[in-house]
Amino acid sequence: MTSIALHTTPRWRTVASEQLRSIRLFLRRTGLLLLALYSAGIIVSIRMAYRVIDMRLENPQGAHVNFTYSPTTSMLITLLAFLLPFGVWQGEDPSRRTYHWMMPVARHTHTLTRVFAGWVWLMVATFLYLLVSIVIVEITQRITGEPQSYGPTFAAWEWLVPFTVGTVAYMFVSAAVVGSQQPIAWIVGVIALYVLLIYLLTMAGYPDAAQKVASVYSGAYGGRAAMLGRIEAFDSVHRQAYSSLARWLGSAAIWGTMSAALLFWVSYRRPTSS
Amino acid sequence: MTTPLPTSLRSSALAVTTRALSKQYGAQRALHDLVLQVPEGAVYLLVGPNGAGKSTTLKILLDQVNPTAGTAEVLGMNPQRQPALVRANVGYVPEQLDWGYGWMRVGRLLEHHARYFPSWDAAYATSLAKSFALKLDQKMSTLSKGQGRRVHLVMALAHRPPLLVLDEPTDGLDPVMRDDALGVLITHIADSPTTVLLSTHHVTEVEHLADHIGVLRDGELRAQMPLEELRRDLRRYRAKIPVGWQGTSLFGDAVIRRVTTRNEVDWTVWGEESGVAAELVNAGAVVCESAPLSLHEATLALLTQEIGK
Repeated sequence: MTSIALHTTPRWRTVASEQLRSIRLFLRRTGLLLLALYSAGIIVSIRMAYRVIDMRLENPQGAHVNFTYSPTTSMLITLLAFLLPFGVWQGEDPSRRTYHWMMPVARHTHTLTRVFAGWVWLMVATFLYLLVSIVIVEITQRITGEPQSYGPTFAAWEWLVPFTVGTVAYMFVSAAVVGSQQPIAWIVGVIALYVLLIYLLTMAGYPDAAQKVASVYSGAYGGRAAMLGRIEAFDSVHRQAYSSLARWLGSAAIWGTMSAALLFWVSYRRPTSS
Repeated sequence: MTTPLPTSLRSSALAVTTRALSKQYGAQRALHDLVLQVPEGAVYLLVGPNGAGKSTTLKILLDQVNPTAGTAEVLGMNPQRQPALVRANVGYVPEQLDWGYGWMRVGRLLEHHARYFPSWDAAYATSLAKSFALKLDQKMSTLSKGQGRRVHLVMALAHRPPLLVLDEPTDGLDPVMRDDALGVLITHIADSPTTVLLSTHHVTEVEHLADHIGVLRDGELRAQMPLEELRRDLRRYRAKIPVGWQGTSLFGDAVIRRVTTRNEVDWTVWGEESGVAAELVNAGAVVCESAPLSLHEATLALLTQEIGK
C-alpha cells in the first residue's frame, strides 16, 4: 500500500462546463455565421413583406405572402446535426485521441460528455432557428396585416420535431465520428448499401422484400417519420403528408434508442490497438 | 562472486508495480512477464532500444492500453479498475504529441487542462510557462515539436502529481532548453514529493537525476536495480592473459560484454569487484584495471549483452 496523499478527480459538472466552453469557443465562427444567416432571414422577410404592401397598391387582390414554419424546413438543423460532430472531434480521430483519453475522467464518460456538450449547442441553434421562424411569421403578419397560416394539418407538437431530428442525426453521426477513423465512408457506405439492397431485391423480383427494406426509411415508424413527424397519404387526387403524434413519438423513440445505443457502444469500445 | 543481474528490488513501498505483465499485438509480443518495481520517491530510469516495450508499459500504467495478461498497480490502484483516479495522480508526457487542439492557444489549453485537475497550481503553471519561454497567445498548431513538449511538461508538472510518467520528455528540445527542462525537473522533485518513471534514450543527461534503472529488451526486463548497485557491481576489467588461456568462458552470463584478444581480456562483468578480480587472478590473468562504467556505457553494455553466451 502507498502512503501518498492522492489527488481527486474533477467533478462531472466541471468537466461538462469546460467541454461546453471549449466547444463554444471552437464553434464561435460557425455560430456567428448562423446568427448572420438567421438575421438575413429576418431582413429578407421584412423586405418581402414591404414589397407585398407596395404591390398591393397596384393590385390589391394579387399580392400575398405566407411565411410559415413546417418540420420540412428543419432540414437546416438536420444538416447542422450532420456536420457538428466533425467539428466537435476535429483533429481527434480515434488514433489521435491520446490527450482526450489522458484526462482524469473515465474514457466513455469523457467521450459522452463531449458529445453531450456538442448536443447542447445544437439544441441552442435549433431553439434560435425556431425563434427566428416565429419572429418572421409575426413580423410578416404585423406588416402585411395578413394572418399567416401554418397549414391545415399543422399540430403544435410539430415545433418539437427539429429537436428530435437534430438529436437523432447528431447521435448517429457522432457514433461514426467517435468510433471510426473513416466516419464519412461509414455513413455513405451504409446509405449506399441500403439503396443498393432495395435495388437488388427489386431487380431480383422480390418487390415485397424490397418494400420491407424500404420501410426502414419510409415506413410508419421509419426514419422519415422520425425526421418529419409526418406520414404520407393519398386521396383521390393528391399525395399529402399528415402529421401524426403517435407515429412521430414512436419513430423518434425507436431511432433515438438505436442512435443512443450505437453511441454508447462506440464510447465504451476501446480501439483495437489497445 | 558473480550473480545473475537483479530483476527485482528489495524496497517495500512501491509507487508502481507490475506482475507478470504481458502485451501481445496480434502475433507480435510487446511485453512478456514484466515485473516492474518503482519505489516511492525514486527517479526510475527505464531504458531500452526502440520497440523494447517502454511506451507500451507506460501506456498500460495509464490505462491507455489493455494488457493481455498480468496486472499493474499505480500508487496502490489498479489502472484498469480506477483509470480516472490513476490519471488524476499522474503527470504524463507522452512520446507522441497528438493534440487535436490545434485551434486553441497555449494559454487557453493550460486553462482547459487546469479545470480537469483540482490540484492545479496556477501560480506554478505560470512560472513554469515562463521558465519554458512559452508564448501563451500562440496557437497550438503552430508549435514546434520542442515547444509542444514544453507545454506537455507544464501540464504534467503544474498539478504537482505524486507520480510523473515521462516518455522521452526532452525529445525535440534544443540543448539549452533540454538543460533548462532538466533543471526545472530537478527543482520540481526537490520541492514536491514525487516519484518519477522516466523513459529516455538520452541517459547521459539524466545520470545525476536517476537513482534506479530498469533495462527492457524485447519486451522483457533484463535488469532492475538501484543505480548505486549498478555503479558498484558492473565494472570493466582489463587483464593480461597468457597465451592459450583457458578462462575464456569464465563467469558465464555475468560477463555482459566480452572482448578477448590473444593476450588481453576487456570484459564488462556483473559481480562483486573483489570476487571477480580474485577469480580472474585464480584463472591466471593479471588484472590491470577495474573501472566503474558511466551510465551511458553501462546501459549500452546491458542493451547489447548477448544473452545465453
